[in-house]
Amino acid sequence: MFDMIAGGVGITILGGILIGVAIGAMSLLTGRVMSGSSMVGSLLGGAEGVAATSIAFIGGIVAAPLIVIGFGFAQLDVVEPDLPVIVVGGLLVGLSARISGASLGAVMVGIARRRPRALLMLVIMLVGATLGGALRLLVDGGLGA
Amino acid sequence: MIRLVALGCGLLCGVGFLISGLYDPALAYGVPTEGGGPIAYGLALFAIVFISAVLAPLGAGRGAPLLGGADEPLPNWVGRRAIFGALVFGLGWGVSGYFPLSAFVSAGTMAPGAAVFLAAVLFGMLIVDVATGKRR
Repeated sequence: MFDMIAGGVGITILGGILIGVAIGAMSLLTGRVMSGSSMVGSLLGGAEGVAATSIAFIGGIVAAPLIVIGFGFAQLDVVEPDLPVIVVGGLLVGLSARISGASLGAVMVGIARRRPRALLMLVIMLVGATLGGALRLLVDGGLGA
Repeated sequence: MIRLVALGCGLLCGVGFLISGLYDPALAYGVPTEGGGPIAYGLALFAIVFISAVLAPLGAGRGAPLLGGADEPLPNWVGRRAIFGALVFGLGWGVSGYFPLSAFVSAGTMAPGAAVFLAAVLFGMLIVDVATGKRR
């Protein structure tokens, strides 16, 4: 199923819409910010009940590909960079969460709550991502090279 | 009930990532795929922002989440510290092609790097916690 529909920008946008709906539903119903950093961070400790919600959410998001693969809908291939690069990237993302609470999910919710600063944060993140991508291409010429 | 909703939102979000291809670091890098590379990636991000913004008025003035409790506060994002943090996040995202939500989905496809990425995120948080004395 996913093989058939994975071939178009329209489908990509549809996926984005689903993610947006999930962010909105999570915020409206539970008040939680659907941010991966916040979910991971709450596992390290925090208000009671928050970690449980995080675990439920993480269970859902990890189960989605397991279901898709398990029921034979699609074989999902992930093309990853080398492990050291991934470790550096993960460390930077973890540090940023503690430096300023920067995370994509949080800025999406910020935009939904009409916080102009969230839009500014998103723009700066995209600038950083462009720099990061360029840096990686400079270092080893890109994926699988 | 709140946990059930969280589970459902996680599933919905996961399906969104799967059909958009946003979980795959290759798309973030702009490696041409069937999904269409960086333009599709940008459009999907825009769709997320747009839908989040459209849904916002539904919640305006309600004061509290529909299932009870309180809204999780957002960071203030004030000053140079916020800008620095956003840049650091972007660098990590750009270098690895992952951000935490996409890594969760990729971890579910058994991609080994995704689990390593999430462990590194946790470790990065712990470093700051220990350095600032919040945790020993």
